[in-house]
Amino acid sequence: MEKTPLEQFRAFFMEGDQRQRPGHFGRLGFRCQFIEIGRAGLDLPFSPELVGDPATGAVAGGPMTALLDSCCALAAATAREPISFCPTLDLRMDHMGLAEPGKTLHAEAEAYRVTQSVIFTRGIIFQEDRSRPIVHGLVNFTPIAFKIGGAPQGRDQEGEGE
Amino acid sequence: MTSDEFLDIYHRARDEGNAQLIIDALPYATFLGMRALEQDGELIFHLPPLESNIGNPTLPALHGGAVGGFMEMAAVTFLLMSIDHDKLPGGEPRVPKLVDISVDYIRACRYVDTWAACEVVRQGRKLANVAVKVWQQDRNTPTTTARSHYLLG
Repeated sequence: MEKTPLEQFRAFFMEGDQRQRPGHFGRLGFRCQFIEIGRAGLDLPFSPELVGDPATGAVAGGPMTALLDSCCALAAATAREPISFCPTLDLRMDHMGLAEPGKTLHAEAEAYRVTQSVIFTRGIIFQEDRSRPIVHGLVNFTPIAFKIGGAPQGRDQEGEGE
Repeated sequence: MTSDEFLDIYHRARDEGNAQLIIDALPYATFLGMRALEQDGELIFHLPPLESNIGNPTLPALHGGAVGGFMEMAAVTFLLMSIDHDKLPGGEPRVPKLVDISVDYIRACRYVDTWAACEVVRQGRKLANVAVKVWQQDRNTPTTTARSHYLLG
């Protein structure tokens, strides 16, 4: 049976060696954990290259901005039909704690409102304990579709479960 | 690197007026490939186009997170180069820690040379507020702006 646009999109980000993906996504080594309609989970493995403070070994804020921006972008892309990425309008990141060196950062995001002109998303980053996020973020997107590196555009809307 | 080793680099950078020494000591700033330079007496920052910083390969455009990280590392370095350490309770600075950042992506950052300038809006005893402006071809046409807070000392 032919894959639905969501299944194609999911396969694109979850199958194969994601480190081979071009640009920042592959270079940071993002690992997609799940993609649902308007929701996504994305991991960033620790790397000493991402340390912002050499005295503590803590990861800088930048990789976390990249992680949550990307995770929210996946949530925004699937929040409407056809599935497609759109540019970030603005974002805000609140850092409530330091990332522990050596541990993976987990991001989870949801699109909580979709309007004609803005897709509103929010997300968190945590390490061991989801109930104590180290970052809380809001990312807004402009719903102008653009294609990224051959990601499916999801023209076929039939067979979508939700 | 220990705190003392970082302090040595900090003092050398301040004495020599060489912000690049600080960037070279920050792994993530090195990862992004950014450089510090002085232009008409102002400390500004340069992000050369690197494939590893691309977010949208089709346009191509830089990743919003890479631009956000560039702005944060620029602000951190700018703060360390301009901080009044007599105001700090401990008297000695550490690498400023990001508390919050709000970024406006005004237009796409193309895959070309990118620049950042910072303004310390306020330095208190514990926190600093830094505004960052990013541009590409024309300084008067910013691609990205940010306001951010950092924990000092």
